[in-house]
Amino acid sequence: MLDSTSPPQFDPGSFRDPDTRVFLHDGAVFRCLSSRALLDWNRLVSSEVYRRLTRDGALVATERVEDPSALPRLDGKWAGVLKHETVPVISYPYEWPFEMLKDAALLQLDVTLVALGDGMTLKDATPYNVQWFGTSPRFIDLGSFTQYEPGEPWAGYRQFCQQFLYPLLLQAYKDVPFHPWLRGSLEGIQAQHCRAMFSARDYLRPGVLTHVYLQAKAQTRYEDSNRDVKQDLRSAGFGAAMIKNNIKRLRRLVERLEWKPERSTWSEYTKEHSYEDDDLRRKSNFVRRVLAPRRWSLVWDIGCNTGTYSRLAAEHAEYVLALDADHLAVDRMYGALKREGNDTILPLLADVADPSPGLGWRGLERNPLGDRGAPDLILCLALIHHVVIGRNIQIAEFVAWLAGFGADVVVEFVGHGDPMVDKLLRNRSGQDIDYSAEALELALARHFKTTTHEALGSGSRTLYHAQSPHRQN
Amino acid sequence: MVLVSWLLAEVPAQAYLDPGSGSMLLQVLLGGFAAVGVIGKLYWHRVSSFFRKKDSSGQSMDPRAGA
Repeated sequence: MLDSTSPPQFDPGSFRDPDTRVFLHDGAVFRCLSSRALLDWNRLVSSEVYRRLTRDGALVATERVEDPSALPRLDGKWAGVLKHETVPVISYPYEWPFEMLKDAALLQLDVTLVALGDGMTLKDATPYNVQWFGTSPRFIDLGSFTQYEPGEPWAGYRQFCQQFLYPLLLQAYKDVPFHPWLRGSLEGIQAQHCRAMFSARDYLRPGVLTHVYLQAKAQTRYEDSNRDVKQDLRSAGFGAAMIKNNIKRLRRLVERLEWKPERSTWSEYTKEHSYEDDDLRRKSNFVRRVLAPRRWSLVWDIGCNTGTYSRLAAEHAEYVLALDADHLAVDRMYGALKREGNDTILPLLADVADPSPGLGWRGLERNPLGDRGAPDLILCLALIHHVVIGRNIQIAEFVAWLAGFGADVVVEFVGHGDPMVDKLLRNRSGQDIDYSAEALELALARHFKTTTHEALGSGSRTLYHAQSPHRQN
Repeated sequence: MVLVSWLLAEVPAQAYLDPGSGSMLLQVLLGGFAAVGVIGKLYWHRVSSFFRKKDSSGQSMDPRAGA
Protein backbone atom coordinates (compact mmCIF):
# COMPACT_ATOMS: atom_id res chain seq x y z
CA MET A 1 0.00 0.00 0.00
CA LEU A 2 1.19 3.47 -0.88
CA ASP A 3 1.88 6.05 1.77
CA SER A 4 3.16 9.59 1.78
CA THR A 5 6.75 8.43 1.13
CA SER A 6 5.96 6.47 -2.03
CA PRO A 7 5.35 8.12 -5.40
CA PRO A 8 1.83 7.70 -6.82
CA GLN A 9 1.01 4.99 -9.33
CA PHE A 10 -0.27 7.12 -12.17
CA ASP A 11 -3.14 5.82 -14.27
CA PRO A 12 -1.43 4.48 -17.42
CA GLY A 13 -4.17 6.10 -19.53
CA SER A 14 -3.63 9.67 -18.30
CA PHE A 15 -0.29 10.52 -19.91
CA ARG A 16 -1.37 12.49 -22.98
CA ASP A 17 -1.61 15.94 -21.39
CA PRO A 18 1.72 16.47 -19.60
CA ASP A 19 0.16 19.15 -17.37
CA THR A 20 -2.18 16.80 -15.47
CA ARG A 21 -2.03 13.16 -14.43
CA VAL A 22 -4.49 10.96 -12.59
CA PHE A 23 -3.79 8.47 -9.81
CA LEU A 24 -5.88 6.30 -7.49
CA HIS A 25 -5.34 6.29 -3.75
CA ASP A 26 -7.46 4.46 -1.16
CA GLY A 27 -10.18 3.96 -3.77
CA ALA A 28 -10.42 7.69 -4.56
CA VAL A 29 -9.43 9.47 -7.78
CA PHE A 30 -6.87 12.29 -7.68
CA ARG A 31 -5.45 14.55 -10.38
CA CYS A 32 -2.02 16.22 -10.13
CA LEU A 33 -1.69 19.65 -11.68
CA SER A 34 1.43 21.38 -12.99
CA SER A 35 1.83 25.06 -12.06
CA ARG A 36 0.31 25.98 -15.42
CA ALA A 37 -2.63 23.60 -14.91
CA LEU A 38 -3.10 24.92 -11.35
CA LEU A 39 -3.49 28.43 -12.75
CA ASP A 40 -6.10 27.11 -15.18
CA TRP A 41 -7.91 25.37 -12.30
CA ASN A 42 -7.92 28.51 -10.16
CA ARG A 43 -9.25 30.47 -13.09
CA LEU A 44 -11.92 27.85 -13.78
CA VAL A 45 -13.13 27.35 -10.23
CA SER A 46 -13.72 31.06 -9.71
CA SER A 47 -15.47 31.51 -13.07
CA GLU A 48 -19.06 31.65 -14.19
CA VAL A 49 -18.22 28.65 -16.42
CA TYR A 50 -17.65 26.43 -13.38
CA ARG A 51 -20.71 27.72 -11.51
CA ARG A 52 -22.95 27.12 -14.50
CA LEU A 53 -21.60 23.69 -15.48
CA THR A 54 -21.70 22.51 -11.87
CA ARG A 55 -25.29 23.73 -11.50
CA ASP A 56 -26.21 21.78 -14.66
CA GLY A 57 -24.54 18.61 -13.34
CA ALA A 58 -22.22 18.57 -16.36
CA LEU A 59 -18.97 18.09 -14.42
CA VAL A 60 -17.74 15.32 -12.19
CA ALA A 61 -17.72 16.69 -8.63
CA THR A 62 -14.21 17.95 -7.84
CA GLU A 63 -12.42 19.67 -4.98
CA ARG A 64 -8.89 20.93 -4.37
CA VAL A 65 -6.89 18.87 -1.86
CA GLU A 66 -5.63 21.58 0.50
CA ASP A 67 -3.35 19.27 2.47
CA PRO A 68 -1.83 16.52 0.28
CA SER A 69 0.48 15.23 3.06
CA ALA A 70 -1.58 12.03 3.43
CA LEU A 71 -1.26 11.32 -0.29
CA PRO A 72 1.63 9.58 -2.06
CA ARG A 73 4.73 11.78 -2.40
CA LEU A 74 4.52 14.07 -5.44
CA ASP A 75 7.66 15.38 -7.12
CA GLY A 76 8.33 19.07 -7.68
CA LYS A 77 6.64 19.15 -11.07
CA TRP A 78 3.23 19.06 -9.43
CA ALA A 79 1.87 22.25 -7.88
CA GLY A 80 -1.56 21.07 -6.79
CA VAL A 81 -3.90 18.09 -6.45
CA LEU A 82 -7.62 17.71 -7.14
CA LYS A 83 -9.91 14.99 -5.83
CA HIS A 84 -12.64 13.76 -8.17
CA GLU A 85 -15.90 12.00 -7.45
CA THR A 86 -15.45 8.31 -8.36
CA VAL A 87 -17.19 7.10 -11.51
CA PRO A 88 -19.03 3.83 -10.66
CA VAL A 89 -17.70 1.95 -13.71
CA ILE A 90 -15.46 3.44 -16.41
CA SER A 91 -16.74 2.79 -19.93
CA TYR A 92 -15.48 3.62 -23.41
CA PRO A 93 -17.15 4.92 -26.58
CA TYR A 94 -16.73 1.58 -28.37
CA GLU A 95 -19.09 0.18 -25.71
CA TRP A 96 -21.72 2.90 -26.01
CA PRO A 97 -24.80 2.71 -28.22
CA PHE A 98 -25.47 5.45 -30.76
CA GLU A 99 -27.60 7.61 -28.45
CA MET A 100 -24.95 7.53 -25.70
CA LEU A 101 -22.20 8.68 -28.06
CA LYS A 102 -24.57 11.37 -29.32
CA ASP A 103 -25.36 12.62 -25.80
CA ALA A 104 -21.65 12.58 -24.94
CA ALA A 105 -20.95 14.63 -28.10
CA LEU A 106 -23.61 17.18 -27.14
CA LEU A 107 -22.12 17.45 -23.64
CA GLN A 108 -18.64 18.01 -25.09
CA LEU A 109 -19.97 20.76 -27.38
CA ASP A 110 -22.01 22.40 -24.61
CA VAL A 111 -19.08 22.42 -22.19
CA THR A 112 -16.80 23.93 -24.85
CA LEU A 113 -19.39 26.55 -25.75
CA VAL A 114 -19.89 27.60 -22.13
CA ALA A 115 -16.11 27.81 -21.65
CA LEU A 116 -15.68 30.00 -24.74
CA GLY A 117 -18.37 32.30 -23.42
CA ASP A 118 -16.11 33.23 -20.52
CA GLY A 119 -12.64 33.45 -22.10
CA MET A 120 -11.76 29.79 -21.66
CA THR A 121 -11.52 26.81 -23.98
CA LEU A 122 -10.81 23.08 -23.85
CA LYS A 123 -7.54 21.49 -24.87
CA ASP A 124 -9.21 18.51 -26.54
CA ALA A 125 -12.55 16.99 -27.53
CA THR A 126 -12.51 13.26 -26.89
CA PRO A 127 -15.31 10.96 -25.68
CA TYR A 128 -12.85 9.45 -23.19
CA ASN A 129 -13.37 12.67 -21.20
CA VAL A 130 -17.04 11.80 -20.71
CA GLN A 131 -18.15 9.16 -18.22
CA TRP A 132 -21.53 7.92 -17.04
CA PHE A 133 -23.47 7.80 -13.81
CA GLY A 134 -26.15 5.46 -15.16
CA THR A 135 -27.59 7.42 -18.07
CA SER A 136 -26.22 10.80 -16.90
CA PRO A 137 -23.05 11.86 -18.70
CA ARG A 138 -20.43 13.92 -16.83
CA PHE A 139 -17.36 15.68 -18.16
CA ILE A 140 -14.46 14.29 -16.12
CA ASP A 141 -11.31 16.00 -17.42
CA LEU A 142 -11.22 19.22 -15.42
CA GLY A 143 -7.59 19.56 -16.55
CA SER A 144 -8.82 20.19 -20.09
CA PHE A 145 -10.04 23.73 -19.32
CA THR A 146 -7.54 26.43 -20.19
CA GLN A 147 -7.48 30.12 -21.01
CA TYR A 148 -8.51 31.01 -24.56
CA GLU A 149 -5.77 32.92 -26.38
CA PRO A 150 -7.21 35.35 -28.97
CA GLY A 151 -6.58 34.13 -32.51
CA GLU A 152 -6.35 30.45 -31.49
CA PRO A 153 -8.46 27.94 -33.45
CA TRP A 154 -10.43 25.23 -31.65
CA ALA A 155 -7.71 22.68 -30.77
CA GLY A 156 -10.20 19.83 -30.46
CA TYR A 157 -12.11 20.26 -33.73
CA ARG A 158 -10.30 17.53 -35.69
CA GLN A 159 -10.46 15.20 -32.68
CA PHE A 160 -14.16 15.90 -32.22
CA CYS A 161 -14.75 14.89 -35.84
CA GLN A 162 -12.63 11.73 -35.61
CA GLN A 163 -13.97 10.46 -32.30
CA PHE A 164 -17.53 11.81 -32.14
CA LEU A 165 -18.87 13.14 -35.43
CA TYR A 166 -17.62 10.60 -37.99
CA PRO A 167 -18.72 7.59 -35.91
CA LEU A 168 -22.18 9.16 -35.52
CA LEU A 169 -22.44 10.12 -39.22
CA LEU A 170 -21.44 6.63 -40.38
CA GLN A 171 -23.96 4.97 -38.08
CA ALA A 172 -26.78 7.40 -38.87
CA TYR A 173 -26.30 7.73 -42.63
CA LYS A 174 -24.75 4.42 -43.65
CA ASP A 175 -25.70 2.02 -40.83
CA VAL A 176 -21.98 1.27 -40.39
CA PRO A 177 -21.32 0.32 -36.74
CA PHE A 178 -18.67 2.56 -35.21
CA HIS A 179 -17.68 0.21 -32.38
CA PRO A 180 -15.18 -2.03 -34.22
CA TRP A 181 -13.63 1.11 -35.70
CA LEU A 182 -13.23 2.98 -32.39
CA ARG A 183 -12.00 -0.19 -30.73
CA GLY A 184 -9.50 -0.65 -33.53
CA SER A 185 -8.20 2.92 -33.36
CA LEU A 186 -8.19 5.03 -30.22
CA GLU A 187 -7.59 8.12 -32.40
CA GLY A 188 -10.93 7.53 -34.10
CA ILE A 189 -11.82 7.60 -37.78
CA GLN A 190 -9.56 9.60 -40.12
CA ALA A 191 -11.28 12.14 -42.38
CA GLN A 192 -10.08 10.47 -45.59
CA HIS A 193 -11.31 7.06 -44.42
CA CYS A 194 -14.68 8.49 -43.47
CA ARG A 195 -14.85 10.22 -46.85
CA ALA A 196 -14.21 6.89 -48.60
CA MET A 197 -17.37 5.50 -46.98
CA PHE A 198 -19.60 8.17 -48.52
CA SER A 199 -20.84 8.38 -52.11
CA ALA A 200 -21.20 11.68 -54.01
CA ARG A 201 -24.93 11.62 -53.19
CA ASP A 202 -24.11 11.55 -49.48
CA TYR A 203 -22.42 14.96 -49.84
CA LEU A 204 -25.94 16.40 -49.84
CA ARG A 205 -26.54 15.06 -46.33
CA PRO A 206 -25.95 17.58 -43.52
CA GLY A 207 -22.34 17.77 -42.39
CA VAL A 208 -20.77 15.44 -44.95
CA LEU A 209 -19.57 18.00 -47.51
CA THR A 210 -18.00 20.34 -44.96
CA HIS A 211 -16.79 18.25 -42.03
CA VAL A 212 -15.88 15.14 -44.03
CA TYR A 213 -15.12 15.98 -47.68
CA LEU A 214 -13.61 19.44 -47.25
CA GLN A 215 -11.71 18.43 -44.13
CA ALA A 216 -10.21 15.40 -45.86
CA LYS A 217 -9.21 17.62 -48.79
CA ALA A 218 -7.76 20.32 -46.53
CA GLN A 219 -5.78 17.79 -44.50
CA THR A 220 -4.28 16.26 -47.64
CA ARG A 221 -3.53 19.71 -49.10
CA TYR A 222 -1.69 20.98 -45.99
CA GLU A 223 -0.25 17.66 -44.75
CA ASP A 224 3.33 18.50 -45.74
CA SER A 225 3.05 22.28 -45.58
CA ASN A 226 5.45 24.24 -43.37
CA ARG A 227 3.02 27.12 -43.25
CA ASP A 228 2.44 28.51 -39.75
CA VAL A 229 -1.34 28.29 -39.93
CA LYS A 230 -1.84 29.37 -36.31
CA GLN A 231 0.12 32.56 -36.91
CA ASP A 232 -1.75 33.22 -40.16
CA LEU A 233 -5.11 32.81 -38.42
CA ARG A 234 -4.03 35.02 -35.54
CA SER A 235 -2.88 37.84 -37.78
CA ALA A 236 -6.01 37.54 -39.92
CA GLY A 237 -8.17 38.13 -36.84
CA PHE A 238 -9.56 34.64 -36.17
CA GLY A 239 -11.48 34.60 -32.89
CA ALA A 240 -13.76 32.82 -30.43
CA ALA A 241 -16.91 34.04 -32.24
CA MET A 242 -16.01 31.85 -35.22
CA ILE A 243 -15.42 28.78 -33.06
CA LYS A 244 -18.76 29.39 -31.36
CA ASN A 245 -20.53 29.57 -34.73
CA ASN A 246 -18.94 26.29 -35.78
CA ILE A 247 -19.85 24.61 -32.49
CA LYS A 248 -23.45 25.86 -32.56
CA ARG A 249 -23.91 24.46 -36.06
CA LEU A 250 -22.21 21.20 -35.08
CA ARG A 251 -24.59 20.96 -32.14
CA ARG A 252 -27.63 21.33 -34.41
CA LEU A 253 -26.16 18.72 -36.76
CA VAL A 254 -25.48 16.17 -34.00
CA GLU A 255 -28.83 16.79 -32.31
CA ARG A 256 -30.69 15.93 -35.53
CA LEU A 257 -28.74 12.75 -36.26
CA GLU A 258 -30.83 9.63 -35.88
CA TRP A 259 -30.04 5.97 -36.28
CA LYS A 260 -33.19 4.11 -37.14
CA PRO A 261 -32.69 0.50 -38.21
CA GLU A 262 -36.01 -1.26 -38.46
CA ARG A 263 -35.11 -4.16 -36.22
CA SER A 264 -32.30 -6.40 -35.05
CA THR A 265 -32.01 -9.94 -33.74
CA TRP A 266 -33.08 -8.96 -30.23
CA SER A 267 -34.90 -5.67 -30.49
CA GLU A 268 -38.30 -7.38 -30.76
CA TYR A 269 -37.47 -9.86 -28.03
CA THR A 270 -40.26 -8.95 -25.63
CA LYS A 271 -42.82 -9.47 -28.39
CA GLU A 272 -41.33 -12.68 -29.78
CA HIS A 273 -39.66 -14.57 -26.94
CA SER A 274 -40.59 -18.19 -26.35
CA TYR A 275 -41.75 -18.13 -22.73
CA GLU A 276 -45.03 -19.20 -21.20
CA ASP A 277 -46.38 -16.48 -18.91
CA ASP A 278 -46.10 -18.79 -15.90
CA ASP A 279 -42.42 -19.52 -16.74
CA LEU A 280 -41.74 -15.78 -16.82
CA ARG A 281 -43.30 -15.31 -13.38
CA ARG A 282 -41.31 -18.19 -11.94
CA LYS A 283 -38.11 -16.90 -13.53
CA SER A 284 -38.64 -13.42 -12.04
CA ASN A 285 -39.40 -14.93 -8.63
CA PHE A 286 -36.23 -17.06 -8.74
CA VAL A 287 -34.08 -14.03 -9.59
CA ARG A 288 -35.82 -11.98 -6.89
CA ARG A 289 -35.10 -14.68 -4.29
CA VAL A 290 -31.40 -14.53 -5.16
CA LEU A 291 -31.31 -10.74 -5.11
CA ALA A 292 -33.42 -9.95 -2.07
CA PRO A 293 -31.39 -11.23 0.92
CA ARG A 294 -28.62 -8.65 0.61
CA ARG A 295 -27.46 -5.40 -0.97
CA TRP A 296 -25.18 -6.18 -3.94
CA SER A 297 -22.49 -3.69 -4.86
CA LEU A 298 -22.23 -4.42 -8.60
CA VAL A 299 -24.41 -6.75 -10.66
CA TRP A 300 -23.60 -7.67 -14.25
CA ASP A 301 -26.61 -8.65 -16.33
CA ILE A 302 -25.04 -10.35 -19.35
CA GLY A 303 -27.42 -10.58 -22.30
CA CYS A 304 -29.70 -8.00 -20.70
CA ASN A 305 -31.79 -7.33 -23.82
CA THR A 306 -34.63 -5.03 -22.76
CA GLY A 307 -33.28 -4.87 -19.22
CA THR A 308 -36.14 -6.50 -17.30
CA TYR A 309 -33.76 -8.26 -14.92
CA SER A 310 -31.31 -5.34 -14.80
CA ARG A 311 -34.15 -3.28 -13.36
CA LEU A 312 -34.98 -6.03 -10.86
CA ALA A 313 -31.31 -6.18 -9.87
CA ALA A 314 -31.14 -2.39 -9.49
CA GLU A 315 -33.70 -2.64 -6.66
CA HIS A 316 -31.13 -4.61 -4.66
CA ALA A 317 -27.80 -3.27 -5.93
CA GLU A 318 -25.72 -0.12 -5.82
CA TYR A 319 -25.02 -0.32 -9.53
CA VAL A 320 -25.88 -2.59 -12.46
CA LEU A 321 -23.97 -3.15 -15.69
CA ALA A 322 -26.50 -4.14 -18.34
CA LEU A 323 -24.52 -5.84 -21.11
CA ASP A 324 -25.70 -7.03 -24.50
CA ALA A 325 -24.08 -7.66 -27.88
CA ASP A 326 -27.07 -6.28 -29.81
CA HIS A 327 -26.57 -2.58 -30.58
CA LEU A 328 -30.23 -1.75 -31.19
CA ALA A 329 -31.35 -3.48 -27.98
CA VAL A 330 -28.78 -1.51 -25.92
CA ASP A 331 -29.64 1.73 -27.71
CA ARG A 332 -33.34 1.31 -26.94
CA MET A 333 -32.60 0.35 -23.36
CA TYR A 334 -30.49 3.48 -22.89
CA GLY A 335 -33.36 5.58 -24.25
CA ALA A 336 -35.84 3.91 -21.91
CA LEU A 337 -33.59 4.26 -18.84
CA LYS A 338 -32.95 7.90 -19.69
CA ARG A 339 -36.67 8.61 -19.88
CA GLU A 340 -37.12 6.82 -16.54
CA GLY A 341 -34.33 8.93 -15.01
CA ASN A 342 -32.52 5.76 -13.92
CA ASP A 343 -28.98 6.51 -12.75
CA THR A 344 -28.02 3.12 -11.33
CA ILE A 345 -28.02 1.02 -14.53
CA LEU A 346 -25.28 1.47 -17.13
CA PRO A 347 -26.20 -0.15 -20.46
CA LEU A 348 -23.19 -1.17 -22.54
CA LEU A 349 -22.57 -2.99 -25.77
CA ALA A 350 -20.51 -6.06 -24.90
CA ASP A 351 -20.00 -9.46 -26.44
CA VAL A 352 -18.93 -12.02 -23.81
CA ALA A 353 -17.17 -14.06 -26.46
CA ASP A 354 -15.15 -10.99 -27.52
CA PRO A 355 -15.06 -8.54 -24.59
CA SER A 356 -13.21 -5.20 -24.65
CA PRO A 357 -9.47 -5.86 -24.28
CA GLY A 358 -6.66 -3.65 -22.96
CA LEU A 359 -5.84 -1.08 -25.64
CA GLY A 360 -3.53 1.80 -26.46
CA TRP A 361 0.02 2.42 -25.26
CA ARG A 362 1.38 -0.81 -23.75
CA GLY A 363 -2.16 -2.17 -23.83
CA LEU A 364 -2.80 -0.26 -20.59
CA GLU A 365 -4.38 2.99 -21.77
CA ARG A 366 -7.87 1.50 -21.93
CA ASN A 367 -8.64 -1.40 -19.62
CA PRO A 368 -10.44 -4.68 -20.25
CA LEU A 369 -14.07 -4.62 -19.14
CA GLY A 370 -13.43 -7.13 -16.36
CA ASP A 371 -10.80 -4.86 -14.76
CA ARG A 372 -13.13 -1.86 -14.49
CA GLY A 373 -15.63 -3.15 -11.97
CA ALA A 374 -15.64 -6.59 -10.37
CA PRO A 375 -19.21 -7.87 -9.95
CA ASP A 376 -20.45 -9.67 -6.87
CA LEU A 377 -23.38 -11.13 -8.80
CA ILE A 378 -23.61 -12.09 -12.47
CA LEU A 379 -26.91 -12.81 -14.20
CA CYS A 380 -26.68 -15.00 -17.33
CA LEU A 381 -30.28 -15.46 -18.28
CA ALA A 382 -31.09 -17.16 -21.59
CA LEU A 383 -27.50 -16.64 -22.69
CA ILE A 384 -25.60 -19.90 -22.36
CA HIS A 385 -26.97 -21.55 -25.55
CA HIS A 386 -25.72 -18.59 -27.60
CA VAL A 387 -22.26 -18.84 -26.06
CA VAL A 388 -21.91 -22.62 -26.21
CA ILE A 389 -23.72 -23.44 -29.47
CA GLY A 390 -23.47 -20.10 -31.25
CA ARG A 391 -19.86 -19.25 -30.37
CA ASN A 392 -18.38 -22.73 -29.80
CA ILE A 393 -17.24 -22.00 -26.24
CA GLN A 394 -17.44 -25.14 -24.10
CA ILE A 395 -19.71 -25.08 -21.06
CA ALA A 396 -16.77 -25.89 -18.74
CA GLU A 397 -14.77 -22.99 -20.23
CA PHE A 398 -17.66 -20.56 -19.88
CA VAL A 399 -18.35 -21.52 -16.26
CA ALA A 400 -14.61 -21.27 -15.42
CA TRP A 401 -14.59 -17.76 -16.90
CA LEU A 402 -17.64 -16.79 -14.80
CA ALA A 403 -16.07 -18.29 -11.66
CA GLY A 404 -12.95 -16.18 -12.22
CA PHE A 405 -14.85 -13.08 -11.08
CA GLY A 406 -15.39 -14.52 -7.59
CA ALA A 407 -19.07 -13.62 -7.81
CA ASP A 408 -22.32 -15.49 -7.38
CA VAL A 409 -23.96 -16.41 -10.66
CA VAL A 410 -27.48 -17.04 -11.84
CA VAL A 411 -27.50 -19.13 -15.02
CA GLU A 412 -30.53 -20.08 -17.03
CA PHE A 413 -30.09 -23.29 -18.99
CA VAL A 414 -32.19 -23.50 -22.13
CA GLY A 415 -32.48 -27.07 -23.34
CA HIS A 416 -33.24 -28.89 -26.57
CA GLY A 417 -36.79 -28.30 -27.75
CA ASP A 418 -36.56 -24.56 -27.19
CA PRO A 419 -37.12 -22.80 -30.56
CA MET A 420 -33.93 -20.72 -30.27
CA VAL A 421 -31.77 -23.74 -29.33
CA ASP A 422 -33.22 -25.72 -32.23
CA LYS A 423 -32.56 -22.78 -34.55
CA LEU A 424 -28.93 -22.53 -33.40
CA LEU A 425 -28.49 -26.31 -33.93
CA ARG A 426 -30.28 -26.54 -37.28
CA ASN A 427 -27.12 -26.44 -39.39
CA ARG A 428 -24.88 -28.20 -36.88
CA SER A 429 -25.98 -31.83 -37.24
CA GLY A 430 -23.19 -34.32 -36.84
CA GLN A 431 -21.07 -31.96 -34.75
CA ASP A 432 -20.14 -32.97 -31.24
CA ILE A 433 -21.48 -30.15 -29.08
CA ASP A 434 -21.49 -30.95 -25.38
CA TYR A 435 -24.55 -28.94 -24.52
CA SER A 436 -26.54 -30.41 -21.65
CA ALA A 437 -27.82 -29.54 -18.19
CA GLU A 438 -25.56 -32.28 -16.79
CA ALA A 439 -22.44 -30.65 -18.27
CA LEU A 440 -23.49 -27.32 -16.76
CA GLU A 441 -24.18 -28.83 -13.34
CA LEU A 442 -20.80 -30.61 -13.36
CA ALA A 443 -18.99 -27.36 -14.20
CA LEU A 444 -20.89 -25.38 -11.56
CA ALA A 445 -20.13 -28.02 -8.92
CA ARG A 446 -16.42 -27.78 -9.75
CA HIS A 447 -16.14 -24.01 -9.28
CA PHE A 448 -18.89 -22.96 -6.89
CA LYS A 449 -19.75 -23.63 -3.26
CA THR A 450 -23.41 -24.52 -3.46
CA THR A 451 -25.94 -24.59 -6.25
CA THR A 452 -29.70 -24.38 -6.10
CA HIS A 453 -31.90 -24.82 -9.12
CA GLU A 454 -35.48 -24.72 -10.31
CA ALA A 455 -36.94 -26.14 -13.51
CA LEU A 456 -39.50 -23.96 -15.21
CA GLY A 457 -42.91 -25.50 -15.88
CA SER A 458 -42.68 -25.87 -19.63
CA GLY A 459 -39.72 -28.21 -19.20
CA SER A 460 -36.92 -26.89 -21.41
CA ARG A 461 -35.54 -24.24 -19.05
CA THR A 462 -33.80 -24.52 -15.66
CA LEU A 463 -32.47 -21.74 -13.44
CA TYR A 464 -29.34 -22.19 -11.31
CA HIS A 465 -27.98 -20.02 -8.52
CA ALA A 466 -24.34 -20.85 -7.80
CA GLN A 467 -22.65 -19.28 -4.79
CA SER A 468 -19.03 -18.33 -5.07
CA PRO A 469 -16.65 -19.89 -2.52
CA HIS A 470 -14.90 -16.47 -2.35
CA ARG A 471 -17.94 -14.49 -1.27
CA GLN A 472 -18.88 -14.20 2.38
CA ASN A 473 -22.60 -14.08 3.13
CA MET B 1 3.61 36.39 -5.21
CA VAL B 2 1.70 38.64 -7.58
CA LEU B 3 4.76 38.80 -9.84
CA VAL B 4 5.08 35.00 -9.87
CA SER B 5 1.39 34.66 -10.77
CA TRP B 6 1.82 37.20 -13.53
CA LEU B 7 4.89 35.44 -14.93
CA LEU B 8 3.14 32.07 -14.89
CA ALA B 9 0.05 33.59 -16.42
CA GLU B 10 2.18 34.76 -19.32
CA VAL B 11 3.21 31.16 -20.11
CA PRO B 12 1.28 30.40 -23.29
CA ALA B 13 -1.31 27.64 -23.06
CA GLN B 14 0.39 24.43 -24.10
CA ALA B 15 -1.43 22.60 -26.85
CA TYR B 16 -0.62 18.92 -26.40
CA LEU B 17 -2.95 18.04 -29.26
CA ASP B 18 -2.05 18.76 -32.90
CA PRO B 19 -5.16 20.41 -34.32
CA GLY B 20 -3.96 19.72 -37.91
CA SER B 21 -3.16 22.53 -40.38
CA GLY B 22 -5.96 21.62 -42.81
CA SER B 23 -8.53 21.29 -40.01
CA MET B 24 -7.48 24.66 -38.56
CA LEU B 25 -7.92 26.41 -41.91
CA LEU B 26 -11.28 24.73 -42.45
CA GLN B 27 -12.45 26.33 -39.20
CA VAL B 28 -12.35 29.69 -40.96
CA LEU B 29 -14.88 28.45 -43.52
CA LEU B 30 -17.02 27.04 -40.70
CA GLY B 31 -16.85 30.26 -38.73
CA GLY B 32 -19.95 31.74 -40.34
CA PHE B 33 -20.51 35.42 -41.04
CA ALA B 34 -17.94 36.43 -38.40
CA ALA B 35 -15.22 34.80 -40.51
CA VAL B 36 -15.82 36.77 -43.73
CA GLY B 37 -13.20 39.39 -42.84
CA VAL B 38 -10.72 36.68 -41.80
CA ILE B 39 -11.11 34.90 -45.15
CA GLY B 40 -10.52 38.22 -46.92
CA LYS B 41 -7.39 38.90 -44.90
CA LEU B 42 -6.01 35.37 -45.43
CA TYR B 43 -6.47 35.79 -49.18
CA TRP B 44 -4.93 39.25 -49.09
CA HIS B 45 -1.90 37.90 -47.19
CA ARG B 46 -1.56 35.16 -49.74
CA VAL B 47 -1.74 37.54 -52.70
CA SER B 48 0.62 40.06 -51.12
CA SER B 49 3.13 37.37 -50.05
CA PHE B 50 3.04 36.03 -53.61
CA PHE B 51 4.13 39.46 -54.88
CA ARG B 52 6.69 39.85 -52.07
CA LYS B 53 8.23 36.52 -53.06
CA LYS B 54 8.42 37.75 -56.67
CA ASP B 55 10.15 40.93 -55.53
CA SER B 56 12.68 39.11 -53.38
CA SER B 57 13.46 36.60 -56.14
CA GLY B 58 13.89 39.54 -58.54
CA GLN B 59 16.44 41.09 -56.15
CA SER B 60 18.37 37.85 -55.81
CA MET B 61 18.83 37.85 -59.56
CA ASP B 62 20.55 41.23 -59.32
CA PRO B 63 24.28 40.51 -59.96
CA ARG B 64 25.18 43.15 -57.37
CA ALA B 65 23.26 41.33 -54.62
CA GLY B 66 25.46 39.61 -52.08
CA ALA B 67 28.58 41.09 -53.60
